[in-house]
Amino acid sequence: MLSYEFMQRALIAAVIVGMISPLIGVFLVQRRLALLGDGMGHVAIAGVGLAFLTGTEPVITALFVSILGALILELVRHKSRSAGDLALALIFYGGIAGGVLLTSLAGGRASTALNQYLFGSLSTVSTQDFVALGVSALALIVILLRYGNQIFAMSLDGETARVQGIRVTAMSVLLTSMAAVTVVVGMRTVGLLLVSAIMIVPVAAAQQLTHSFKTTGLLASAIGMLSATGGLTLSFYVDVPPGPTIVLLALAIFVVLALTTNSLHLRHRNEIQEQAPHQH
Amino acid sequence: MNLTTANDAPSLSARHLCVSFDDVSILRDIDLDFFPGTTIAILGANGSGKTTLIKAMLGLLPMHEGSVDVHGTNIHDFNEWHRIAYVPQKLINSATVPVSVFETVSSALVYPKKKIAAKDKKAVVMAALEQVGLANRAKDRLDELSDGQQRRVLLARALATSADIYILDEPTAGVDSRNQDELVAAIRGLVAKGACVVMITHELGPFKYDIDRAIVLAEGGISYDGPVASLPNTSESSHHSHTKNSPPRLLDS
Repeated sequence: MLSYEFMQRALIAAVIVGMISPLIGVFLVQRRLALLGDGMGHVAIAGVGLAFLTGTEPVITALFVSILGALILELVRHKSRSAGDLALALIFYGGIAGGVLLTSLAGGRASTALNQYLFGSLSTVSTQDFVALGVSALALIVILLRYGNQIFAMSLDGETARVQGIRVTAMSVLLTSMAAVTVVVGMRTVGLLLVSAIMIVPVAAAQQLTHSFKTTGLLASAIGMLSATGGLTLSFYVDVPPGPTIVLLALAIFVVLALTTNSLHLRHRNEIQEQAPHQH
Repeated sequence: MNLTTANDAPSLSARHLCVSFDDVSILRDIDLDFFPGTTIAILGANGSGKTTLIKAMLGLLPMHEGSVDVHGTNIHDFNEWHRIAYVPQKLINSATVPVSVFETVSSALVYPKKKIAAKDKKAVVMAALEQVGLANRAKDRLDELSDGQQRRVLLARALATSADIYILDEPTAGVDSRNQDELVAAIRGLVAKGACVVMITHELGPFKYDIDRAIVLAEGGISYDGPVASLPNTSESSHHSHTKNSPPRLLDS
């Protein structure tokens, strides 16, 4: 498998996506914005469609369009929380409808190409994509190291964070923009329709075992990398799209951990109840 | 205990403070000065605007009219935020992703313009948890603690800061009497060091010997501002007759 150059690229891309996505996702879950990545993914579809139509580079165009969508969404959310929820829904619909329409207007092989962006594709990670992905991931890590603590404080309690002098609105915009970038980072490997899952599912799996935010983020990142590389390898041998395989593997890890920890908790509780009468 | 400290400049001041929501007036023409080295209780019935008052004075709610000064600087120009610690009734998002007690307390030490070394941060956080009797729970999930213990964690969060203004919203609600004593001692320590402590409370009980000044809000204004000893009617009998085990409940709860 590793003798193919495209697989080497795809595997490195999968490691990067698996590592970085849950590190952003853990903040989204903390802010109860687990579906935000989905909204950003849909906006990116419009970006890809626009790129097909204008002949520009899909990754770069999707990046700009997603960040623009993130800023608009934050603006609406800032005005009203309920309007923010509605805005997310409108972005969902507008993004996917716009993306498909722009793609069909582009004609030619664009419709087939769109499929690769929707569900990920092993063979199409170009060197240019690869560089864009690496630079974006590096930027995300630098921003997380610089502002992660402030985003955490804001996610835990925006009001208290504001009293500490943290610029809550700016941090919120930063987080949403980071989610938009993550979506674009993941679109070649996992695909736009499922990229949000690789941000969120590893977090849901990790938090079955953890007691702190930091360990949840780090464990989720490890689960993300495991799912992404494992899913990609499976998709190579079974010849299925990588996106669904990666996400189903992450979900399987979640189910196993949820069942194991729940049964352990139950056993622990039963042991305590059995011991209780002897203490009297 | 000083009721007035004429020689000191106020730590926190409000002038003609008015707050409205959707044209409904919540607070009208509030003038207040809170001085260093004093403990102030804000009392009043539910809906009287206590939380609105402190949130407006912290810049968390827009003022319809008036102004707030922190250490003599208008709150919009104030930037020494490490000098203010706020204890909300509860954290907004404490039960989504697991957050440890240690992380909760150390999140108070995140300032955009002031970096604290990790080693110092750990020592400060553990000392604050020690003060509220929860150092042994530092690694536990916050949402696994009882409500009273979570309240103590939030107070530890404030104690970990080097603030000189502490705004506490119901700091002892749900905390058992033995641990209330620890919290009172911790707050007394802050005031002894010159801090200004402003707390919303329904119960003066644990603090009855420590509060220098009581402010009662009613119908959007201040209906009483003075020493605890001269407080007007309470919902039960006078606070003087209460023992430690039956704290006086003021006006409403």
